[in-house]
Amino acid sequence: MGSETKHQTGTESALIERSRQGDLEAFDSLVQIHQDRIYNLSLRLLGNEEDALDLAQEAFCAAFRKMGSFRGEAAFFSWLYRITVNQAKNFWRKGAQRVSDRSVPLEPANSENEREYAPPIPNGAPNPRQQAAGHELRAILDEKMNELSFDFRTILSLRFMEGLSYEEIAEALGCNTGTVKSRLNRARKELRDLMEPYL
Amino acid sequence: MVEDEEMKNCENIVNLLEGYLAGTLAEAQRAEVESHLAECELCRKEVRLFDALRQTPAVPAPPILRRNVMERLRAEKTCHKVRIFDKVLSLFRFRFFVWGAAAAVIIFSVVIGIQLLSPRYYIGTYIPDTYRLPSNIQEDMVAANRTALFRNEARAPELETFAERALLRDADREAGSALNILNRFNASKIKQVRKIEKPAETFYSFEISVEDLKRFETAIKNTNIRIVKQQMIVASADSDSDAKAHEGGAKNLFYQADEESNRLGEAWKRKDAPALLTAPEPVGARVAETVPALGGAAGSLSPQSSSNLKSAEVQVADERTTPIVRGAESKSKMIQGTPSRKSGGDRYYQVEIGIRDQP
Repeated sequence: MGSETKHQTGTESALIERSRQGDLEAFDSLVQIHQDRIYNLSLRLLGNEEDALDLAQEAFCAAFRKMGSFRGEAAFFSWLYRITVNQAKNFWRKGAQRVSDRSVPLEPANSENEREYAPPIPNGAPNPRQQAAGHELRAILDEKMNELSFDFRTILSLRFMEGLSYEEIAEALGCNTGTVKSRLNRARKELRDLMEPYL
Repeated sequence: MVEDEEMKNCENIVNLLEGYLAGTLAEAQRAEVESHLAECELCRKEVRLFDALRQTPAVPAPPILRRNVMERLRAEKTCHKVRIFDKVLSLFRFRFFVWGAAAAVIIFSVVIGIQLLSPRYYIGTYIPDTYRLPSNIQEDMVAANRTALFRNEARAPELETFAERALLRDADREAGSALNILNRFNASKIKQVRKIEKPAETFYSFEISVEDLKRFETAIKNTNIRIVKQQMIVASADSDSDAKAHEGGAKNLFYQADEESNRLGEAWKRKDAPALLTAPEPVGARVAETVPALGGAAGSLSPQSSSNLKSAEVQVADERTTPIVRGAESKSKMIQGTPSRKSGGDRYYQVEIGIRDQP
C-alpha cells in the first residue's frame, strides 16, 4: 500500500484498491482519468482510429481483469501503458497488413460523438485543417512513423509524444533504462534518415 | 579528426536538444546549443524533427470508448457469475459421477473379493464340493489339500492356514443353515427321529410335495444333508388292497435302509480319507466298491427284491448320486396314507434326512 501512495494520488489509490475488489464504478473513474492517454498511445501505435478504439477498449478490459496483479510497484499509468503495448503487439501481429491498408484515417462521425477531434494520422497529403495549422511536417512525420518497426514507433511515441521519462518507459516496456536509451537512439536515427528530405 | 570531433559534438548537442526545446537547460548549456545550431545544419534538422515529434497533438478519447469498456465489463461480470454457477454445477455433476464410479468399483471389488476368497477358488486350487464330508473327514481333506498345494507349487504357510480356516468356516455356516433349508421347502410334520453319535448325525422326518422335494434335492446338493429314505404317499389310493399289500414291504424297506445307512456311515468313516479325497471319481462310487455287499448299479427299487434293495441302499447312503425318487415313482412303491397336507389324489413324499454335525 505504501508503494501505491508513492506513485498515485490518494484518490487514485483508493480507486485502484476498490477496482481490485471488483468495483466497476471505481474502475469507471480510473478509465475516465486515463482514457485520453491510452487512446492517444493506441492511435500512435496502430495508426488509425478504429483500431485505436478497439485497442484502448481491450487494454482497459484486460487491465480490469488483471487488477489483482497490480501491486503498485510502478505508476498505474505505466502499468496501463504496458498492458496497452502488449495488446498492441497482438493487434500488430494479427493485422499488420490490415493496419497498413487502413493507414489513411477516416473522418470521425461528428453526429455520433460529442467531441470533435482531428484525424491524427494523415497520409502524404495533409487535410486542409492540418494545412491551416501549418503542420505539414508533422503529417509527413506521422506517415514516416508508420514505416518504422513496432518497437521503434512505440519507444518514440512514449518518449516524445507521451513525454515519459526513461524510467517510466522502462516500466512500460518491461526492460531496463539502458535498453531504453540505446533503442531510443537507434529509433531516432532511423526516423531522422527517413525524414531527412523533409527537414 | 576534425569531422570526428564535430560528430562527437553533434551527439552531445542532440542529447541536450530535448532540454533545450523544453526550456529546462542551464543558461551556459542553452548558449552552447544555440551557438552550435547557428553553424550546424544537421543539428538544425534534428531540432525540427524533435519539434515535430513534440508537436504531435493529443486528441481526446471518444466517449464511446469508456461506454464500451463499462458495458463489456458489466456483461463479463454477469457472465462470470453464470460461469461460476456452471462450474459449481459441473463440479457437482463430476463429483456425482466420481462417487458413483467409486461405489461401483468398491461393490465390484467386494463381489470379486468374496468370490476369490471362498475356499473353492482359493489361490487357484479347486476344492470339490464332494469333499464336504463329516467333520473328521474334513480334517483329512484339509491335510490332503495341503499336500496338493505343496505338490503343485510352494505356497506361503500363512496362506495355507488361511485356506484351512476359510474352509472350516464355510462348513460351519452350512451346518447351521440345514434346518432353515428344510423350512423353506414347505415341509410339514418335521420331527427329529433319532440321533447318532459316531459319526455325529441327526435324523429328521417330514412330509413334502413332489415339486418341493425336487427343489429340495437340488438345494441340498453338496451340503451336509443327505436323504436317508423317501416314500411316495398317494392321498386317495386307486387300489386300497394294492397299497395295503405293499405297506408292510415299504415299512420293511424303510427300516432296512435305515440300518444300512448307519452301517454304511461306519464303513465310510473307517475308510482312508486321503485316498477317498484324491479319487477323481465321485466318492459314492468308491464307497460302492469298498463295500462289496452293496455292489451294483442304481436301479429300480422294489421291496420284494433283495438285490434291488441293496442297490437302493447304495443310493440312500450316497446323497450325491441319482436320488431314489426315480425308483420310488414305480407304482409298487406307493402306499396309501392319510393325507396330511393335500387331498384329492395329490402325491407327496415322506422323507427322512440326516444332517451331519460339523465341528
